Amino acid sequence: MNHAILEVDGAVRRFGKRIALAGVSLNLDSRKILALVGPNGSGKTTLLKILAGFLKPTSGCVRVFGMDPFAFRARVMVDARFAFAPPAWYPQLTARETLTFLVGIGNGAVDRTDRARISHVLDSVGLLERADDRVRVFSFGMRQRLALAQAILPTPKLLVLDEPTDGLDPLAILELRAVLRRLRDEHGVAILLSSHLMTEVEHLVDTMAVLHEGSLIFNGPPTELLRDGQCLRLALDGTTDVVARTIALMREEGVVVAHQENGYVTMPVGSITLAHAGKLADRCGAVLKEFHEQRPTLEAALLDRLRTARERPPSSSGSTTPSRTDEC
Amino acid sequence: MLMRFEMLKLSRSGRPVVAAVSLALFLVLMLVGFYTYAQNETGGQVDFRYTFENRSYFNGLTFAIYAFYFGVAMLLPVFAAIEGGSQIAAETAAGTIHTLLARPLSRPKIFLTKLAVAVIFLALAVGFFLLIALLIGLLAVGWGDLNLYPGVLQMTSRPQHLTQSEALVAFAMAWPAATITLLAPLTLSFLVSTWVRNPVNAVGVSVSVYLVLYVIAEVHFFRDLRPFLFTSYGSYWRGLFRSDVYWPGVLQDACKLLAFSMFFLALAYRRFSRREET
Amino acid sequence: MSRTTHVDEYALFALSVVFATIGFGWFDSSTDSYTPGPRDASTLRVVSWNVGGKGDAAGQPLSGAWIPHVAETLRQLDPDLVFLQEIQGRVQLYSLRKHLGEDWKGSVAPGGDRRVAVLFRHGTLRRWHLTMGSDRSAMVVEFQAEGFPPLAAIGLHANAFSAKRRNREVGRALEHLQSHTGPTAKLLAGDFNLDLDLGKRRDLFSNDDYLDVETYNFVTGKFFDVGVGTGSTAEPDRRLDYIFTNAELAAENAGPWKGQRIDAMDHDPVIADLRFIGR
Repeated sequence: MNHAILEVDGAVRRFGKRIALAGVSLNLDSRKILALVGPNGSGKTTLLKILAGFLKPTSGCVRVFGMDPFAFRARVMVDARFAFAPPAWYPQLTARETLTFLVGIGNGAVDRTDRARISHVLDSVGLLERADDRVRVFSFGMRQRLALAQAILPTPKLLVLDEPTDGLDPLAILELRAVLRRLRDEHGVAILLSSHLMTEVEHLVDTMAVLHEGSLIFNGPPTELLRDGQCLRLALDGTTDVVARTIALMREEGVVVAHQENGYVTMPVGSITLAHAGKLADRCGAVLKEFHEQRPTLEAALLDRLRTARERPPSSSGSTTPSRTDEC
Repeated sequence: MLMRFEMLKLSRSGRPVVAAVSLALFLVLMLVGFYTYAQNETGGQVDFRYTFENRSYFNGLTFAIYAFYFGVAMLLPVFAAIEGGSQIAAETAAGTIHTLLARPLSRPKIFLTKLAVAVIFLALAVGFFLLIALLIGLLAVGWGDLNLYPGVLQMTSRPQHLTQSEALVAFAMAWPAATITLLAPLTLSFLVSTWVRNPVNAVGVSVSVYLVLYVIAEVHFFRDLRPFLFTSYGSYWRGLFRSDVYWPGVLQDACKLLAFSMFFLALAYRRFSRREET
Repeated sequence: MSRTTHVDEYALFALSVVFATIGFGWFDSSTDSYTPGPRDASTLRVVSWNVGGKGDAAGQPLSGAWIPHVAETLRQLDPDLVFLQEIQGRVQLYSLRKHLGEDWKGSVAPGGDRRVAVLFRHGTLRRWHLTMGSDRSAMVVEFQAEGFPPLAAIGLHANAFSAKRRNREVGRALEHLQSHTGPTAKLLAGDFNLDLDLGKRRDLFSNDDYLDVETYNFVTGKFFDVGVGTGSTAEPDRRLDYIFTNAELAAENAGPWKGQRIDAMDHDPVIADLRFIGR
């Protein structure tokens, strides 16, 4: 039986009375990059810790490589690599020692090839010159680079990065993107990253999962979120009565008007043609000044989603009681 | 590999240096106190005439055993607690426990490796302390036969006379014996460090519990509780400084201490193997 | 790397139980036991017994009601030399001798109603009194049992309420015994009121405890405590009664015979079977 690299089905996690995850479901296959997006406290880190086997879901099913990560954490970690934020290192060790030991812990020993790879990876994250400095003197960005270096040593099947671009300069962010794409495309690595930066997500990921107050409010390609955020925007010129009459006429014709304010009307894309809109305006004595499709940025589309989610009454997902972990 | 990793971390942590300097300073203070005490006790007293104290009784070995007594009862338990508390709670507080657990390492392996490192550190600290005490005794006072008398420190319940070589053999045996004594506070702090997420709290709680139990074990009012307190057996190593060592008693007390240590370890292991990393 | 199992945890708990079983129950390491065996003709049996009892704060001397029991116990022990403490006077000692039998002889030291006395059967005894500067006195004897070399001994009942006075009394008795010319085998016996069973009494020491330790060490620096490690001699679980000997005497067997105190008596007899070195 083939499993997705990562399967989450109705994962719920409570901390006392607080619900950190309210029935989240998502999958990740190899050669895919999934971005976990959401505001602070939305449940991203909780989900990552559940995937790492650090926390148990209160209920629901979580599988990594087909295994329960809490019970089989050590086995999962053979092929999975996690880098949590903020990166935590042993200040008294050098970068090279840190990587040598972390590689050695997995392999049981470190040979010449491993040492060469360590140097190569340190070089690729821009730390080779500081490889023998103790981590104590590293800046946050350098610690972040070291976290990335350890995460790809050796190349895993699943890579999970928590806020990987925090502290990185723009050039390093570009390099990080290139590394992640190469891992996905050349090595078939499944990558899950949590991030706040929409620009990073938009150009990199295959799928986005948006968490809000523990609930998954979107799960799909970024283009879908963008498409959902697109709308038709019309500007009508005329007296208040004339504009109101035009909108009423549009509604009579079956057009769904999403929003209207000061003569500006928004509606879903494809609700009406330019010619038909002009005709209806004419008929009521108004002038159609603007007619265009509005394409939001991913960030705006996300904010819109979050705003909608916030305005909606508390969803029933928070009180769902999906199947227990041992039933999945 | 993990063992090497832990040993390197320990050697770079500065704890060994702090421990060595503290223990050496303590011994120097003990030496000053030793001379002062000897002067007071052998200076002659009018009111209290019949005393066994005399200058020939004190020598470098007497200094070493008394220093070791105080070290094992008061000072080394603190270092044992620091080491035990530093192992897991410090990793938790720094977040590095995530770094370890994000590698293909089983929790038993992590736990047992950390325990092994702490025990090695403890054994070395005890050995270092004993060695320095003997050296200071040799250089500052000079060795000789070891005479022990019953006294407030309860070093013996009957007068003992050990030749210098017999005494040195007893000191050599006291090293592992005292390490077994100190395993109890070490494993206690290990237990606390699996619950408490801050190493300072872990060490503080462990040292406080140790001191409270130590005092309770010494107070006559609580004598019925003594069998159930590991601190009641902590000085069993004194039984090695006998011209005729009563081995069943020594081994029995060692077993009691190991029973407490294993119990603390089992609880610590239970907690660590089941706990979540929030 | 396998699924989390609890085998290691159970192993640690099992180890704890194994060590606890060995440590707390497998074998008895206690040395606090002594039972007087049958008399050996080659050893001299010495007994010290405070035959007084509990009463008011200061206790009470030997009661007439206990005399038959004391006599019966001594008959069973069949000692060569007995030091008694808390005898009321000559009349009471005479009464005790009557219960023991015609062949028992003895003497009482002067003092109040809690005197030191000595009893013996076969042999010769010379006695002196050693004044302690209080209502009590110690008894100095030179004793020679039939077929044994002579020995010098002091029977003592030290002050129960002042560690300093105890220190002076015990120290004085020991110095006197050491300087005593004549027999080279020497023995110091009695109720010293030094509670020094350190194995049991792990307590925060008072100044009196500290002085008692010093007193004890002063004696053991010169004489052997023959009953050491054999447990308490008086209630409640205290070791107050001692027999000390010099190097001319070796104890074959020594200790308190527990369970011999009846009614309000608060001490058991302490017995030592002694061999003369070089004999």
